[in-house]
Amino acid sequence: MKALLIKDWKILIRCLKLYFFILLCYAPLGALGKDIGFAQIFPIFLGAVLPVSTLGYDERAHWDPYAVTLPLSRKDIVLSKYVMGLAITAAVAIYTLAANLLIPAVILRTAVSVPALAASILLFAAIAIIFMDINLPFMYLLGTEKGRLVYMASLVLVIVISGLLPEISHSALGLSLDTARLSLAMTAAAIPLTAGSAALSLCIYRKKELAA
Amino acid sequence: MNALEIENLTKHYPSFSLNHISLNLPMGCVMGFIGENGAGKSTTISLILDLIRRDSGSVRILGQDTSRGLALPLKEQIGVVLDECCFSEVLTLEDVDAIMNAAYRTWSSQQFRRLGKEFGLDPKKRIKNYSRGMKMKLSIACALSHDSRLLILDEATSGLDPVVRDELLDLFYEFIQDEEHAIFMSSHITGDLEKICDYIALIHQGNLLFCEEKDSLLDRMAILKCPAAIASEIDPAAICGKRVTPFGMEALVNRFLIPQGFATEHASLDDILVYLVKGGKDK
Repeated sequence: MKALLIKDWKILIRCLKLYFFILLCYAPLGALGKDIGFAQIFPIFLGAVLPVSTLGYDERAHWDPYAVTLPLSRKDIVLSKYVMGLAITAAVAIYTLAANLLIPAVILRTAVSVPALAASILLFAAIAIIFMDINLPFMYLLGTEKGRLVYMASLVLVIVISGLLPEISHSALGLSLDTARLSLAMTAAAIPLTAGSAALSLCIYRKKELAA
Repeated sequence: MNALEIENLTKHYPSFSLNHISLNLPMGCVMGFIGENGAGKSTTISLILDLIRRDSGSVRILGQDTSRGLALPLKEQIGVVLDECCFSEVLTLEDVDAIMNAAYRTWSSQQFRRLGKEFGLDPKKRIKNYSRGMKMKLSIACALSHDSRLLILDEATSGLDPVVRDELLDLFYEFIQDEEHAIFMSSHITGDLEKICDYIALIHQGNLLFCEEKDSLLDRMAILKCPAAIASEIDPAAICGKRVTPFGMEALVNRFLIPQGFATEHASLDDILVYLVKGGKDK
């Protein structure tokens, strides 16, 4: 699996420099304004979308039939995408949390409610992971071209969910028990969903014919 | 020991079937797998490599049964080159080295870099800036930089100029000097195969027409040109494929079955392929 993670990382740093620029700029940006909801969501969400993007690069290069001939199992190939998605989302969430704690404390000299901030970042990270969980099996089943329809539909779904929870995306400055509970609930939901999604993707991929 | 043993390999698609393919590739040998486009070469290779599921039949690679897939230690011993470079074009040779080093326990960065240098591949250049020949050289360098005992090449030389093809054939020739090595290569560039192969297998419309030693095949097969009027004197069993023109008949024949006195010409693999595939339809 290490080889696959290295490959994806190399592709990401070559192709998605813009993403890293957005990440570096956006996460601290939220700390400077009152409304940090979007600034939190955007980079975290992008992190969870990256495995889907790397699938597109793999498909264009016809990587998968070749990868299966290397000493890598189909399980490694599928799980590496989930591991990457989880790792990047976690890293971005930690970076966003750190930026939103340090900037107000050091530059603005204002107090930030750590539990509220952590709860909302955790919530968005969980939603982003669920978004990845929904999309990856469809990408494996339909390919990235057709899978994009599901991607768009699930994106709309996430936006609608976010719209239904306005207090969440505006609550980082005031502790909301709802946010805390919701973030824990979403995180709890994301764990079995990720396991189920990975199992489903693996089932699809094991049956997939990867003609040379 | 055989490097590759295929027994009754079968795969059905709605519009194409690969029917009961059986062949053996002994260690220390090169087998050329020829056939026209769509004959089933890539399907056979996909089945050998477990990229697609077989309907029936068996494949043994380096003595190991692959009915439950190819075990990872076995994959260490197989070098694969598909008909295109399968690395993302944004990667460089150095990136590929890092990736393959993590994938193979037996990967030799030193060997890979040496081959890269020998092939003139810039380690810092992105793959998208490589020519097709350079991309194929990169794939071949990958196949030769770990503990490969069997090379499986799917149209590895197609689309390349004769100079590059010749260089690659030299490499394969060097590889096969070790009697514990073997090469199974599909191609429709029969000239290349004629230079390097010990065995030739011809597939047509999903059926294996023959699999035999190249030298005996080329010794046996010949091109006969004669007026149509005297063609009837030839035993029909001697004619493997023919083309009848207003000026007479041209046929691929078994030299040993035609009467004395008929002048024949050397049949190349190209002739054999064309007559068996196309001439068979005219019979």
